[in-house]
Amino acid sequence: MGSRKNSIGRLGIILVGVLFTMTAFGSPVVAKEIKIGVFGDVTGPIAFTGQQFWKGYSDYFKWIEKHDPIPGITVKLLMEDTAYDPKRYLPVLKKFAAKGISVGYIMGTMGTMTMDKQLRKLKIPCVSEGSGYPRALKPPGYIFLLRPLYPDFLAAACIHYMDLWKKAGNKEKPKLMEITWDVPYGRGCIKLGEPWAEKYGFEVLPYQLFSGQPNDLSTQLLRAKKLGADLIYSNHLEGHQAVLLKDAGRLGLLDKMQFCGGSESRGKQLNELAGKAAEGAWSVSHFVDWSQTDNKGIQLAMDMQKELRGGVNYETQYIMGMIPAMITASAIRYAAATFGPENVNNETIYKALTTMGEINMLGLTPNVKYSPTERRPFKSMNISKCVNGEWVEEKYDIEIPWLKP
Amino acid sequence: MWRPSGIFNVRYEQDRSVIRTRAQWTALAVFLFLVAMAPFFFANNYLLSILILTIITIISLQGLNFILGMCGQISVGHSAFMAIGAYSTTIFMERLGFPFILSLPCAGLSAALIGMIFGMPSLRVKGFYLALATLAAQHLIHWGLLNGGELTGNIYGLSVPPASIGGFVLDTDRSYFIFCMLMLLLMCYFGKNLERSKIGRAFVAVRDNDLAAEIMGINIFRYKLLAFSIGSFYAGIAGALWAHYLLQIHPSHFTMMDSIWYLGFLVVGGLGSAMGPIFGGIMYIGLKEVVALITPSLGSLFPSISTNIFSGLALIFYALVVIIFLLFEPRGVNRQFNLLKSYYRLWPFAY
Repeated sequence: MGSRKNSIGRLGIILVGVLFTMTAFGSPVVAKEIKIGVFGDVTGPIAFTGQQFWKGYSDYFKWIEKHDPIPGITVKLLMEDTAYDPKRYLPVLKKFAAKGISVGYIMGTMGTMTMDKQLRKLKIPCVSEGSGYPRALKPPGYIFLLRPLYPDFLAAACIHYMDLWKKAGNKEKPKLMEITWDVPYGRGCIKLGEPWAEKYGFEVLPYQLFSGQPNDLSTQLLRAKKLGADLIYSNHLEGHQAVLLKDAGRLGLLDKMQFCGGSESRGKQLNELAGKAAEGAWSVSHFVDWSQTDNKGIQLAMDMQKELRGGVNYETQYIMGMIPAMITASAIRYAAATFGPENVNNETIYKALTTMGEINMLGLTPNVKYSPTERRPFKSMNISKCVNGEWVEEKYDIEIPWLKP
Repeated sequence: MWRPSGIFNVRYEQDRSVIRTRAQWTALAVFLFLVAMAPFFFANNYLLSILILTIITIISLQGLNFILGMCGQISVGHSAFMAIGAYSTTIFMERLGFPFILSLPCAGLSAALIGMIFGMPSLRVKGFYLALATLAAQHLIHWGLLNGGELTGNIYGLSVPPASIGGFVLDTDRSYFIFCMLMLLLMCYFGKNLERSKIGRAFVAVRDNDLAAEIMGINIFRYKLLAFSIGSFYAGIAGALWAHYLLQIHPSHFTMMDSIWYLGFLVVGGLGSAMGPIFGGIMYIGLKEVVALITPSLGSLFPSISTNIFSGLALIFYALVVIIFLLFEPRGVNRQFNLLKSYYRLWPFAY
């Protein structure tokens, strides 16, 4: 009887001890959950691009959760398929708003132009790939562009081409023609970019459009040939660029004109589809190439893929998907550190994005910096060239004019 | 034909009335009450948003039902007529200072005028050739909006002011849903009555055999144009409602694919019937949501084929639904609904 009493007494002492220890170390902290809404164009016309974006974006958050978590914060990604369909964005935005997202990621110009006003109304900051809609900057709202406007892409191509043109001793004006996809994204360079190119010294030829998924772009190329175009610029996807380059090869135009596309106009898929026709083509982008293996950002992309996917898939859009994730994670981290993890919400993330200063992008892009009056991230662009099936540096860090919308 | 057994009309008014029995009046009252209360039932704006889009689609399909279902004239430019309505209401409000309540019917009338112009080829051509003529309308209007200078905002589209009535701004999903629902009821009521009027009967006569209709004294040119203008009026109203909901418009919001799917889902709903557009609209928006919900999950289940197959799953799915209905139920969901109603009324008797 006595020993039983002793046992109960010992158990009581142990329990009190455990409780005391727990109190001494403080109650366990529950991390605040931050929801991020991803407007995923993972089906529809930009499905391939959207799926790669999503891989890069989601992998980065998985990676930091494991290796560099945000103190006091857990991140939950909510992804809805918006299919690049303007009638899908609004219901998805309402759904996300109802679920209480604090920040979002938009994958294209269509989403940006469709939701700009609604995001201002709901006060949800979103990072966006949609650089084809300058009105999102005027006045600055809740959309934070991940790259300069598309006309600045064209400007970068023109600046570099003009340098080469002058170095080659040419006296006459080079002729620029846009052959591009007939959607807001594709037409994104025309209005601001072409007048600028004309002032910069180019003779601007009438732009040529195509719609849908083209099988043949000979008509547009023959027009370019007839008018004597020197630089062909295109804002479209890898599949489109492959058709353009293959047709150019068939018509014997590859060595007569310089073909240049935007960020989405190059990558593994283009090389597979266009084969040798892709050789010598340029691409303007805001990030570095996979070939830059010394770059810390590229090393991170490789490490992430090796760990999370068991191998590296050299898709350029994967890098593009990492960029918004890095910016968003940095803003959440800054907001948590500045305002406290419990106060991280759409308003503090917005404040963080506009006031936190430079975001270190590990060399993947120039360091990103937004301000209360500016939603473009940086002022320089890279041009890459396809050499032996690999995209390598043609000219990096070209300063761009930031064309005024 | 669908009147319940034992109900006898003794006056012409009874014979003409749309709602005939006390049970129908009660059902209507309950329905209206539920509709009015619907915004308060839904915990979030997502479902309301889907309902608003469904209503807008139904109004648009009703317009197409006049052109195709009742008058037998094919139109592949219906989405472009919606664009006219969307742009018109914005221009009327922003440039001419019209109030919303005036700009909305003006948007419908603008679309009706443009629809009438593009309906003119219907006098000389029909079927496939008329489809091509209206396809041209789609492309011309799209091009016009993209190159319309400051008036249409070029490639950036237009920013749309919010709808407001007498100082009350319809800037919440609840208020906008109620307004859209009222518009739908009004348009349905007008459409149902038009269907039973001289005009509606003339449309059907033109659809069934335009030569016979002409011999009977129906001015087929007039009625074909009227069908196009009424159908486009509906499209214009739908486009304007869309614009004031989104607050932002662009030609890419009104594509040829939309026009084609409107045709397909009008067939799915039931061509030529008052209920057809309602079923068609619900099916179209409902399927979109279902596909959007299941596609990413399917993609993650089969990662090796997700890029190639699932990116186009929505189109495959819609097309499959349209084909199945064309093959097995060309008269659409509406016929099944009517069969169900008559079965319920006759139950437990087979006949």
